Amino acid sequence: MTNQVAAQIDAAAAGSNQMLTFTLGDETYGVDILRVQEIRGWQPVTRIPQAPSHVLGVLNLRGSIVPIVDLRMRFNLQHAEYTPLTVIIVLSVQSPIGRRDFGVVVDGVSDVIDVAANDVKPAPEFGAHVSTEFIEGLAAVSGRMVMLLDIDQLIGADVTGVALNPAA
Amino acid sequence: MNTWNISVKAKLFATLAMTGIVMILVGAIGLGGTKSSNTDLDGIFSNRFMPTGWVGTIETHERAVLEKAEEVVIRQDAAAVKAALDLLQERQGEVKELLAKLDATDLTAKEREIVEQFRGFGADVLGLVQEAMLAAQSGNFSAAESTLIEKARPAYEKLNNAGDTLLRTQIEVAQQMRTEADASFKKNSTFIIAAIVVGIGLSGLLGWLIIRSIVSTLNTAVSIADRIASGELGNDVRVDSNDELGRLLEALKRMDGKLVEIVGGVRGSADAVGAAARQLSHGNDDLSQRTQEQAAALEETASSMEQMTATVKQNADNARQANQLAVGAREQAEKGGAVVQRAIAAVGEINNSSRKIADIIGVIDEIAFQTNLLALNAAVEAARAGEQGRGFAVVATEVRNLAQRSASAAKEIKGLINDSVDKVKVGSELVDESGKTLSEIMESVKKVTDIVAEIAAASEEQSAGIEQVNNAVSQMDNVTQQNAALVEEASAASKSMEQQSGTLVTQIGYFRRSDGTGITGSGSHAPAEVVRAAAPVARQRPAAVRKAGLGAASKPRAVASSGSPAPLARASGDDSQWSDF
Amino acid sequence: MAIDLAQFHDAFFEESFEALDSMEAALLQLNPGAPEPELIGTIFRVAHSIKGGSATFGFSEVASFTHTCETLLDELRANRMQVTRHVTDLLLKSVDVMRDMLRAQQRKEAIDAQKVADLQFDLELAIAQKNQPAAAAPAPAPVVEAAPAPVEAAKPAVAHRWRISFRPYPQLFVHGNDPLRMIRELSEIGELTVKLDGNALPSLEQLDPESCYLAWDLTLDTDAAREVVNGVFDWAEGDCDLKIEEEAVPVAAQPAVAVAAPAPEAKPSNVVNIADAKPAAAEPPHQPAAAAAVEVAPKAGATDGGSIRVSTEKIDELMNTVGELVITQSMLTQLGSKFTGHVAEQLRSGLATLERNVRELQESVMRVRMLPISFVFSRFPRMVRDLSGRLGKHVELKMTGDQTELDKTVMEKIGDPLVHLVRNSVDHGIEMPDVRAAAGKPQTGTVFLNAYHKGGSITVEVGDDGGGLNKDRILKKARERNLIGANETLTDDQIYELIFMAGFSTAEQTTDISGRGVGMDVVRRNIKELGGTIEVKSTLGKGSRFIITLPLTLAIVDGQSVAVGTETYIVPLITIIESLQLKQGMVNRVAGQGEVFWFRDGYVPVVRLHEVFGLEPRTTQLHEGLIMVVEGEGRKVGLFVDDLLGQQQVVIKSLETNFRRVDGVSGATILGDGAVALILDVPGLIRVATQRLAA
Repeated sequence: MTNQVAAQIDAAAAGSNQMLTFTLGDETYGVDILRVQEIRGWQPVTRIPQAPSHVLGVLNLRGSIVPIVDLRMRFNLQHAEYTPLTVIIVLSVQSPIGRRDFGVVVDGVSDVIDVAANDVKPAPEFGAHVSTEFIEGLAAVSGRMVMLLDIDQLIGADVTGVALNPAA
Repeated sequence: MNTWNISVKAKLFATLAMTGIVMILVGAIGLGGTKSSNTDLDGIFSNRFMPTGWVGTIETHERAVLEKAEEVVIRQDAAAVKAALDLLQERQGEVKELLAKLDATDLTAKEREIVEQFRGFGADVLGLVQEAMLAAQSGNFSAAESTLIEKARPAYEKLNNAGDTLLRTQIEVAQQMRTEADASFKKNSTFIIAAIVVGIGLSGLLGWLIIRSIVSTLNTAVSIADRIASGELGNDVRVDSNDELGRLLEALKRMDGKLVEIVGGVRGSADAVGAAARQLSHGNDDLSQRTQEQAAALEETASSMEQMTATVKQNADNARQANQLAVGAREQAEKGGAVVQRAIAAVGEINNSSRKIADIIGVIDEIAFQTNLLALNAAVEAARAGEQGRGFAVVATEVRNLAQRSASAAKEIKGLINDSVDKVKVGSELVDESGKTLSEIMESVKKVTDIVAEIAAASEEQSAGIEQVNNAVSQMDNVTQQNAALVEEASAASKSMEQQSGTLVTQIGYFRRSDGTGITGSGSHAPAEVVRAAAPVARQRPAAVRKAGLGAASKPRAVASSGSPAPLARASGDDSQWSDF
Repeated sequence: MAIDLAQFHDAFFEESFEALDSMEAALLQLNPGAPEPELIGTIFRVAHSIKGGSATFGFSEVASFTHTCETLLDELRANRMQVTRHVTDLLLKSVDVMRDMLRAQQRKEAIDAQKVADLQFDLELAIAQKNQPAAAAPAPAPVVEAAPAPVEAAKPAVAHRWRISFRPYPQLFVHGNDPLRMIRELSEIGELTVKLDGNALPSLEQLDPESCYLAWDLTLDTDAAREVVNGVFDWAEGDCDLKIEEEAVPVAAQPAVAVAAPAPEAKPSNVVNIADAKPAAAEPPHQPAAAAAVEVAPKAGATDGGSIRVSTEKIDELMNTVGELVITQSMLTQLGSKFTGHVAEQLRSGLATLERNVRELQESVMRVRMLPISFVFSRFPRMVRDLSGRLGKHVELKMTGDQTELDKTVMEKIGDPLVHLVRNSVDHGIEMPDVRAAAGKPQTGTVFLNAYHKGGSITVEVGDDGGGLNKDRILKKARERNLIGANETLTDDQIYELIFMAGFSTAEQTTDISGRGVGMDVVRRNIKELGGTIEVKSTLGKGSRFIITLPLTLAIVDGQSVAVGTETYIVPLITIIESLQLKQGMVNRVAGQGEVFWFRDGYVPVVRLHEVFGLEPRTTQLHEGLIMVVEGEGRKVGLFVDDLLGQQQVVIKSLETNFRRVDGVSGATILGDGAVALILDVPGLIRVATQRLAA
């Protein structure tokens, strides 16, 4: 798996890549579609004691226990209500001890887009609610600006329990 | 009279006792004489006359037996022996009985001696006959005949002689006894006559003494009474004995004194009554006038009440009418309310349907959402499949487009439905409001109706109350009229009383002192006495006064409420009492 | 061949490690001087198959080393060399080296070439010494050794003549069997006549190189019993029609004809083996050796039932699926209770059946994870042998109950603590022979391992008949290290408890085996982590006994569900002492200790779960909720919860798979409604609560 994901990232760097875009407030973000495990509707979560505030709790995802992160809270945005139309994107990251799955709560899923590698521009040091450390790059797709998220940076040891090494 | 200073009772008793003693003495002497005569007579009858008969009977029996035996012997009839014996037997018993009776009588010694001889002879006769009969029985008639003739016949002759001797002796004894009785009678008669003469003399003397002492005292008493009756009071009465008659005089003296006192008092009282009666008469006149005034006022009140009753009645009628009108208004308002309710229900249903549609749209929206998610997941899978997934990714994109379109369509419909839901909501709110307003109106009308009904009811009640007041007033009027009449009567009565008190004074003037001066009402005390005399009068008849006068004046309500003629009757009853005054 | 060999690597390594284990066991049973041919055969087969596999997968270093081993073993088998202590030691070392090499291959690490080369040299030297003229230099092994079996002159007096009809199914190769190997093996145990039946062979165009089209009729003259002959075909069982008949032995032996099987060897083996899952267990018991004898109790459970090697990942997946099924089933049951009427009754009975079946399925899947503890025990004979040799002690290892099954995860974690305990027993427990003799005990000491089921848990006992724990020495040491006060008096149990404290060792001198003062505390911690307990019984001069109690599995736990606010938690039943409701006034406040209440024979502090976990409870009044007295690490606390919900067996799922460790929570499970409930880690919770209190 590690190889596959790595290969995929390489592929993204080299040529065209598919991105899943979603909205958070007024902004559109994108994640590598190969990191997406599943997209699902909101469901009440079980709270985890002593967890960071943006970790809402855990959810049963087909038999495995998956932590759920509220991206709005992670990005210090205004908190939104959870409705059955709230969307959870289950993403996976690689850690030295294996794959880790977790869900992120977003406002809505927009689209699957193709992003050519040379459309991706490095993130400037300004704007967005999100500090640029989480932004891999910016891509303009059909007139919209999509911020490509670096989920390995985004989801650190506070969720997975181990420091992630994106290069692994 | 000093010597006779004992009571009249004792005097009468002593006289009567003396007469009684004389009578007892005379009676006792008479009784002794009679007793002695009776004893003598008994001696003659029982001891002399009766034995004479018995002796004759015995002789007869003895002879019958003898003759029978002789007949047997003569006839020599053996068969008759038996009968002769039986006869013997029978006559022997009877002879025995008669002899016994003879023994029981009181005989002198001489007579007793003769009786014994007679008894012996009789027994001889019977014995000899028996002997003869026994012989005859044995057939020895000759012996029997000899016995009879020789022995029995002589015996019988002796018997007959003895009988005759006895009879003579007895007559002698009787003669002697009669002579003795005659002597005793003569002695007794003399004694009795003497006793009667002495007794009558003593009684006459005593009677005359007593009658004399009683009659003189009684005459004195009669003369005093006569003087009092003729109005002469203050007589001088002397009492010098203390027997019953003395006490009579004493009493007459006290009566005289007392009467002087009473007449004086009555005279004073009569004067006072006269004054009071005059005052009363004056007050009654006053009262009468005021009662008349009151009656007039009451009449006026009654007529005002009548007028008021009419007004109130009209009022009540008006209220009733208003009530009917209000009820009508309420019904109308209710009908309006029901219509609005239906409208509300209809709008509510529309609202529900809209909501249901909204729900369904929500479901469609959710399905679109799910489809979108599925398509996204498919897109993810397709991306993972790389080149091979391209076609699938296209399909997934199409599905997503479709899902998004249906979602947006659903959203549009949702918007429309929400819009219509909102409008319906506004409509339903308006209807609700109008319904509320209507129900408020209804409420108000209801309140008005209630109030009007209350007014109507109150007017009715008021009317009834006034009617009652009216009645009470007219009753009061009546009572006042009656009161006025009573006051008239009272006035008249007081006048007549005044007159009568005058008469009384005149009549009391009949009494005067024996010294010729008239009796006056005790000088300076007279006015006080009048007042004092008036007070007891008032006290004596408080109920009457109150009921007749004050009762009618100060308690009209009691009269009105009772509404019965009872007080009138009582007033008339009192009237009669007044007349007694 | 478009087949990616990498996919078979895991299977190969697994199989090789097991084979090495069995080789080791066989070596330990090998009687120097009087080796049993069957044992040598077994050892040889292991070396051979590893060599073959390594060559196939391109692990040339392994193949080369194994070849040298094989050469030595071949010499032994042919009785050209004597089995000596030195040789067995060499071979045991070889096993270690092979294991290391394979492990390195598996992890894609570098092989310690020097070590391998040294040992290889020793082996070659041994071969050379025993076979003076034939000091063959080791050569890279060929992929397939196609050399025909040596044909020897028939011995006139063989016990049996076996007529074997061997007709493999086409999928024989797919399952990793090699007819050539079998035939060769048969030829090794006797005189073999081979007749090939190639009638089924299709034309070349239609030929599938991965299918077997050949059949053989074999005649074997041998002394070996039927079982031995059967053993050759063990691995092919189910993949062939096999008939073995005994024939009258002819007076004159027939000349043997060796036929090299022309079967295609392209298909590598070891993907999935039809094999006895317990190769070691299949070994017959052996008489004790003089120095370090290993006695393996007769294995009742060692049946020849077929088995499949499945990766634990797949079993976990299966368990997950079954778990989901259980959830779905309970949802259906809930739904079914809402129906009414005639059909509903049928529905309910159907649901009841479903429930039973699902539960059975779950249990079956659970059982799949269970393995006999012999997988752990099997390493001890070798260890004891090595240790006793090094220490100069005579130690006999007795193992009983090694067929007792327990969960694989538990097994994986219990190995190291057991190793430590056994080492301790040999090192500290068993005295030197002269000391034993002086104490009137037999010179040979006994270390015994015993495993048995007890209720829902497994008990493993490690004991010895050595000197026992010296209480005075323990006390002295404890005082030296200020673990206890100078004047403190302790009960026996408390004294024994001291040896589990960190940095405590009583050995006079530190050896490399034990006595460095790390150990018992780690042992206990490991056991605790497994949810087990350890207990010591000891008599001075008679020996000591460590009794470990472990849950049978880490996959499920009997739990009590409790409610706190809107959340549901699972408390392991084993930790619960009693649940009770406090009355007002039963709770005292103690400075620095918070709330306590009297329970049985002491004061127990109250831990408010909602405070520890930061929840909004239904009530904060102690008398309105419930107190659950739980025990962890010997400490009791009263856990204050809103309500008790019910007892159930829950499947433990790790939070750490996708999240991190959470203090006070040992894992999570999925409830009947699909929601996740956390399983409380009572000792951890007590620690957290204590820290909170201290803070």
